[in-house]
Amino acid sequence: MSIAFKNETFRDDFTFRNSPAAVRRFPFPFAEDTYAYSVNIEPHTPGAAGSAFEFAFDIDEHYVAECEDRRVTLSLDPERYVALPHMMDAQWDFLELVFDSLARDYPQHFGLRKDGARWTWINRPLGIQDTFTFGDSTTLAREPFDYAARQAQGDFVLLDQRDGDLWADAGMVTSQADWSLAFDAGMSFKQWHGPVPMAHEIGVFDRALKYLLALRQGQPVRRLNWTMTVNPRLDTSPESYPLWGPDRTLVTTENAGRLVHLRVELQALFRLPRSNGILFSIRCYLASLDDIAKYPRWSKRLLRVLQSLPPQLVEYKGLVRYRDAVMSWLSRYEDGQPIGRGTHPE
Amino acid sequence: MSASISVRVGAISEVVPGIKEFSLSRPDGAPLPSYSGGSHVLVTLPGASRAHRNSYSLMGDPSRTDAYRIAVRRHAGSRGGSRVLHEQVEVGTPLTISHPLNLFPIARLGRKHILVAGGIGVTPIIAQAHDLARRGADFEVHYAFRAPDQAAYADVLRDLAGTRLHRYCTASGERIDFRGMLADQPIGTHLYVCGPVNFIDAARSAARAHRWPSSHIHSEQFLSPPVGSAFEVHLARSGRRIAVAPDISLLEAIEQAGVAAPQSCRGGACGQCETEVMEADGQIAHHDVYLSEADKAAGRKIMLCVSRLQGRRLVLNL
Amino acid sequence: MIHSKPSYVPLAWDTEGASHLLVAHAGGGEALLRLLDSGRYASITVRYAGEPFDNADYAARLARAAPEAFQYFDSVEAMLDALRADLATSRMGLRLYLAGSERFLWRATGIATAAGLCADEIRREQAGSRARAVYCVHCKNIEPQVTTNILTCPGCARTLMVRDHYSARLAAYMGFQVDAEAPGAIPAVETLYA
Repeated sequence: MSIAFKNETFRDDFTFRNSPAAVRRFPFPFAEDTYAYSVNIEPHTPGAAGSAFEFAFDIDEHYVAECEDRRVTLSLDPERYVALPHMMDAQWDFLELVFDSLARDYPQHFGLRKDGARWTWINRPLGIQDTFTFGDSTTLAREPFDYAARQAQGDFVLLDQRDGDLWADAGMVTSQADWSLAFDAGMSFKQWHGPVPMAHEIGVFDRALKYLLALRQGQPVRRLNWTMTVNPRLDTSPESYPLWGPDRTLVTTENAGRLVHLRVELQALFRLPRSNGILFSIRCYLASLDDIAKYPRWSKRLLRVLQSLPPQLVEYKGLVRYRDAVMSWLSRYEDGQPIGRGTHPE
Repeated sequence: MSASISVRVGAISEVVPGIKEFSLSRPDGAPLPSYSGGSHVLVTLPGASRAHRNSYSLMGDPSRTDAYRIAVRRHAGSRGGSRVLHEQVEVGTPLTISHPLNLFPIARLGRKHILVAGGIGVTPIIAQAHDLARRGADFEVHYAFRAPDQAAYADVLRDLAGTRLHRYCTASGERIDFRGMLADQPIGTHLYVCGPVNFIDAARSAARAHRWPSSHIHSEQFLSPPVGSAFEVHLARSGRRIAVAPDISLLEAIEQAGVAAPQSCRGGACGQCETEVMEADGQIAHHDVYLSEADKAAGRKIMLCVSRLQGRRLVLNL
Repeated sequence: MIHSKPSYVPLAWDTEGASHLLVAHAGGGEALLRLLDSGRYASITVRYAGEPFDNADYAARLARAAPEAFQYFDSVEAMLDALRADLATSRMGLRLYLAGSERFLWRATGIATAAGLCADEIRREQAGSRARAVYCVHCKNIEPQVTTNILTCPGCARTLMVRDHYSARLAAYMGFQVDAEAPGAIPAVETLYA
């Protein structure tokens, strides 16, 4: 089944909108009325048909527009892409994994023909067809990670495994929730998670690191992360904070439905074959409060999560200025009745 | 993606007397996953009891995805896995293997690499040499084998390392001079050694004598769960009492009883199966290379996959 | 204090090392003198650069403490260049000891790891100035010696807050525009890192 790709923007005039189908498949992250940190990792096995979890890498109606937004972000700041010199094996591992997956899961949009090491890659939505020699960077216009990540939705970090730790030694990061690849490149697992409040003290990162060091090929895992953003802006990086930070002051109880977005990251981790590294993919989904409100169950649950969020997390997730306006906007959906466990739309 | 791969034995050869080489490929001819040199796969022999699951290093060129090659030395030992492979497995026999796992990787930031293989320990070294040659890295290989008829793998290494290969035929009295080999190396040199435990110990001692820090010394020892005596394990959290037979590992006994326990490499190296010991009526026999000496002495932790109890009863926090 | 901010302990000999290279600047001289006082090993080399300003005549004292093994440099840059050149021919068994400002420690560490040294071969002690190097995340300029929590970025003129989030690779702390959401709302300037 073909996807109808949208023509929309994630900056300036913000013409981004979700179709009803996109709202229905939005990966709403809250199964309970309160939110707590945990190593909430589960196997990244094929999910329900049509869901964001069905395939290894999810492509949706926003694919073409997101690739264009990435292109613009990179043209303004090339350091949203970093690859330290020793990561070339991991770069090819990435290209192989993503191209194999997209061609297998979306054959109507992507194709990959292999004639020994001569590969031909076809990307119909972006109008690309290239033939190259796998393993030989001189046969591609850009290095393999740069080339392939510009054609995939979401951010990607390649982790090098050494000295009993994981190191963020390469990345393509243009839709991040307020962290800088240019700054964090080269950091270890606990270093780049340094700014996250509360989680270190309860051992979340010790357990997560030990688990990931033993991650095996063929057994990827996934988890969800969340925050909120004013306007459907993908590039909410520290670099461009002067551009998007002020939007936090624009939110009112009247406009919150249109302006404020729940931002969910579907994070997946894959062991890479030749480099023995790990791919960390971060796929960003945006839904406005108007979108969320199409399912009252979601609205009620989101309100309760926000009400019970500890102050350190309100601060860390950047919600301080507009949380009251958002809770006020959502309060019309509160009926005081219990909601069962689960994230399904209703 | 699934956790295991079905393969068929494509070819068997005895290139070196006492060592059988098995070529494994997918029945439909589809490519196998690529891997990094130093990786191994867990091989399960179908129809056999749980006792026959052993790890074998992948010895081929990691960029060749048409088949995996493993080499198995016939052991007079205990649990019989190698005997089954030598005596019962034929061309066409179906096997199940895990995806490759690498607990013996090349240090990517190293400037120079010294690979040292003793006997059957040459298997992961060959794959590492392929990777290093492909990258144009600075490396040398030292290969010690028992007799001239065991030199076949030296030819493979010669193709990869050229004059940087040093061969030692122990039957002719040639011995690796570990101290000499490691002397005066530039900073950024790493040592990788695989072979019998005494061989590894000698290499590590020499590196230590030259004041190499542990971050530059890498070894892989092929550990499989040793046979011991029977004992009982009590799982405190589930309340189960399980008998552990002499030739079944603690992990296998727990799994056979239907209890899921954390595990990964099943060879005492990766740390995943570390479990808290609440009580031990007897002496814990640690056979892993993961726990520190202090942890082993304290007796509050045990690696389920290879360690055992010499005694009557072990109580675990499981 | 966050987990990406490094912590330091006083330098101590790695008794397993075969040769020992001690490199420091400015107030780091104090740490080297203490180390040399605590024991002697064969094959010690001492390198020292006096800048920014060697208040306590560490150069002379180090020269007396290790006369055959002491080398003085006019500038940190010259000393780091020499370190890079020397490590190209150093042998396994070497241990590196660094003392001085935080920026110096991690710039020297970067040179050492590029030459092949691993974390267990390098020891660092922060000594002397506690000034922070600050990387402006907006214009990528690095201001090397900041003593306050707030600064005006010399690259883009934004008013920056200095975070505790540290990059060993850049040898700098992150600075970001503190008044992006409320222009002019700047917290009190405090001298925190002198």
